[in-house]
Amino acid sequence: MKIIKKNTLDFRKIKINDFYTMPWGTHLCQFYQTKKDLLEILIPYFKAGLKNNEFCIWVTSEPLSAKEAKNVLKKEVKNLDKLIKKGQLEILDHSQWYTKGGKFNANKMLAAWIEKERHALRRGFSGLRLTGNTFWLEKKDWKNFTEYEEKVNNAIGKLRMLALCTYSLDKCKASQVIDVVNNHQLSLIKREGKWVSVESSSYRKAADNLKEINLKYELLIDNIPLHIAATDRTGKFIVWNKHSEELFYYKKKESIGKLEPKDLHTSIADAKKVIRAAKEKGIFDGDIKLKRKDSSLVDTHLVVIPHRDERGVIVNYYGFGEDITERKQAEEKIVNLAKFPSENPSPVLRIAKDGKILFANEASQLFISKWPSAPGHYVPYFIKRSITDTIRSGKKKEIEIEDKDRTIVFSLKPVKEGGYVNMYGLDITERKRAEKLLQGSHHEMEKRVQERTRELKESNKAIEIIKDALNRAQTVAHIGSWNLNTIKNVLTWSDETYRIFGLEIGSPLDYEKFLKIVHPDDREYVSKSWQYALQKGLYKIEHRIIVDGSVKWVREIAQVELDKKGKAISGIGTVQDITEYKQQEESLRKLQEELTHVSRVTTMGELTAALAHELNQPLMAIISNAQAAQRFMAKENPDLNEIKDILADIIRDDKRASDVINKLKGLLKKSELEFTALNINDVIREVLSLIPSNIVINNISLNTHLDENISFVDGDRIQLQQVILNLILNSFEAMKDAYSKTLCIRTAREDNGSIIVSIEDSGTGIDEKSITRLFEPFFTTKKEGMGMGLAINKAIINSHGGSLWAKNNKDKGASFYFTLPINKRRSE
Amino acid sequence: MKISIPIVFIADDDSSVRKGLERLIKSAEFKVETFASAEEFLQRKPYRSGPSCLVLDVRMPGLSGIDLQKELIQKDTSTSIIFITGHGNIPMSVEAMKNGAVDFLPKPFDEKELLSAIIRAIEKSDHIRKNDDERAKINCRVNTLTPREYECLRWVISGMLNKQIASKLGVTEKTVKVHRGRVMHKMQTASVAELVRLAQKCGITPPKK
Repeated sequence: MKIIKKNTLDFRKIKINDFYTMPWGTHLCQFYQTKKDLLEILIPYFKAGLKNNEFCIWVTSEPLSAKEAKNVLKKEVKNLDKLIKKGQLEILDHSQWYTKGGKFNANKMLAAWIEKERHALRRGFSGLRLTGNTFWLEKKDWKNFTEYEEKVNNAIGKLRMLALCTYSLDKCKASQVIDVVNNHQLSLIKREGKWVSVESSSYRKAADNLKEINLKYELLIDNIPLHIAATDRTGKFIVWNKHSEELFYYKKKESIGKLEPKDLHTSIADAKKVIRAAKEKGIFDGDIKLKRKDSSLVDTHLVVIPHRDERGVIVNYYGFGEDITERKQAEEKIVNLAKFPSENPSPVLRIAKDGKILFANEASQLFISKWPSAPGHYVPYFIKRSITDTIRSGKKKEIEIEDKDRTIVFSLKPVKEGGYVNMYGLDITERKRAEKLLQGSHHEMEKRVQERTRELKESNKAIEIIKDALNRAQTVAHIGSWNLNTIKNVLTWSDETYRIFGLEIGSPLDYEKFLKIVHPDDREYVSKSWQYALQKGLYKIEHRIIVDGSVKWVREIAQVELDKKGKAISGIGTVQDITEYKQQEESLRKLQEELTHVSRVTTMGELTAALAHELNQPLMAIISNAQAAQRFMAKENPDLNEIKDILADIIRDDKRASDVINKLKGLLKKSELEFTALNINDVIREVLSLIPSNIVINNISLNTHLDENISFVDGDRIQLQQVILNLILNSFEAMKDAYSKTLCIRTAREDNGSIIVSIEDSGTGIDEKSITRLFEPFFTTKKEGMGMGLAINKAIINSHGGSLWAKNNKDKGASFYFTLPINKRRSE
Repeated sequence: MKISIPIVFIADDDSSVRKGLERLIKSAEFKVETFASAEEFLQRKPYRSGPSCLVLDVRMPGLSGIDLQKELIQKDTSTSIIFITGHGNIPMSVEAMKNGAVDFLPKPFDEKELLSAIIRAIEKSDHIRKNDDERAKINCRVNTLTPREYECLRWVISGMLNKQIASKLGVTEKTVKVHRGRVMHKMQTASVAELVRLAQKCGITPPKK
């Protein structure tokens, strides 16, 4: 318990001359010899009191008169007159106080002092500070006065009072000095010109005891889980335990001596109500909302009791508080819980064992019309019987009650110790109705189920047969099938698919597992194609797989089922092992490579270019030689032998040049071509047989519309093949970057006695500016290439008596057409 | 002063062309040497007696003319090149010219075209040689500099004052003055402007500040 510093009863801490911080309840005495001794102590004593807002009383005696005292003090305290006028200071002669009624009376005197203290507190002063000189005491009065001093000493601890009694050393006998010292907590004595304090040994002991008790007391109340507080007569708290700190958030130092009970109340009315109850009934005991430091409210159960002194005056109030927030909440919960059954949309009732309705919620009244269901009424007999039964057996029971057009089933739950039964009702009208309907249709359903089961069994059998047949067919054709549920990511394979991919039949599958089998170089292609298929539904690819360390080729064709939004639902596809086919194709491709190599060397264009180069070389030599000869001739002494050599070289180079020209002529000479009667369709088919892998690799779709009744033409098979191959390869080139690649080759008979061949592509088409120059020699739009191909093609076709031209298609791409005259002999 | 004799090399796989060109160029009073392939030309030891040029056929068996040109760039010779070709195309000629060919002549060409190209090529070669000579001379001078003087030279050509250089090198201004004097003396120049020109010629750059 920490009370303000002034009430700390540790006298050892009191410093002489420090009259400011002297605790309340201090009773001390001063032994003086001279007037000066008196003033040395009393002047600072009162100065401090006046400054501390204390009510001060100075009772004087020889050697200092009241008037003298006032004058001396006036020098030290500037506004003394004002203070006296205000009533803070009274300076009295001893005759006006101690012996006012004639004879000195210890009890009356003490009562007078206590009255003065109360007066001080009422006036708003913080307490009473007094001094009384005992010089007036006669020998006969000494005993009486000693008793008085003892009484003061006992009483002063509880009062807001400071008392300093001055004794003339000259007047006291040694025994009297001991009395005086014993009756005061502290004695001030001048030794060798300095004031020292002497402590009463009994007080010291008492103080120590008190301190110990205080500590124990403080510990004790801190540990009581209740808010404990006490106020003194100033109304401020002097006790504030730990629990109070926790409950109200005010720390001890914030509350003690500073806070008042009204600070905790939400209104002055509340505070007054509590105090009134405590004063009038001797106790306040009730739940009240109190205010915390942070202004939040706390539900508190508060008990306040007053403490009266022996005269019946209330000196303290003790308050005990308990946080009842949780209790309040629990109470609220209970109230809400109680509402719960009444809010239940189904009927809930409580029936006493004699059949009296104790509780019935609103729903009961709504559902039950046949008998009064309000509390206080009795239930019909048949229910009462069930209730008695359940109470006796202690077991739950259900009863069904039909009321109006509804059926309600009540479950009866006995509460034996309560002697009543709880009835929980449930409206089962709809369920009943459904049950009835169900019963009716049950038979019909059963019949149908049997039929369906039979059908299913039959169709299952059929499926088994089909599956078996499919499996066999797949084995024979090396075609497996698969099925992918893209939503659930479930992949199923046929047995043959397992065999193709080299996995054990029936082993678990997913797309990733499949992708692992795919050749690493083809994985990206496969998964990209699949992603494309998931959007467009088309899936037709050939790729490699690695099974048991060897490479296999498979052709996969699938259809992806898309929903209305275009999202893939499932895919069903076939896998064909085309390894053998690919091997054949590969050997064919090699053959073709050799062939195209040969044909490149023999291609007219290349040959012409080579010939052009061949021609330039001798021409270069001739011109250099001739010009050199001119220069030599221009010299003063031309070396004729040298010129002879030059001329010989010129002749040789000239021959070389004519040889080259003859070779070129010969190439184009008609006589050297092998003209035979040809079916142009066969020629085209021969060319196409050379390029299947080009078509596959470039993902080109090839269409042929060959007129099978076409007439024979005269022509050189190799040259015509070259023309067709060249035109096809050109169109591949044109379609290299096209999205959809379509090549269409047609043959037809013209009315004018010739056949026409067209090669249509879906490529970039021909720049209109270029279309007329297309067949000029050395004209090219390609980065590499001589620009001779089309020129030679035209030359070949022209040499066959036909014509070659090109046209852009209406939508996209370009077409090349050539005609050849019909061989009349063979055709007719 | 050495006597400077220009020379014209001819590389062509066609002997008739080779011979014809040789005669023509000889008639214009040039020293001529012929080679039947690029490889053959590469085996010849570098010609140092004067400016040189190479009349080079683009298309030859083995290493082509363009390949040979690349090889010669690597070798850092002063020989300049004139391409001749039976059937050249634009990309090829562009590449050749980009790589420093003097001309690109399609066969057959006139003597005037060839001879004027040769004169230009010889002039170019001569210029390269002179530049190389000067650079060699400057490098000789640079090689006489001490590392400290070389450092000083780099700071001087960056345009810094002696005081600034001193603080960069952590020496006194007086020391820099001495270094500077020695640099000017060894480089045989009287002005900073000349010093900068010499430094630029042999690729000496100012230090990064």
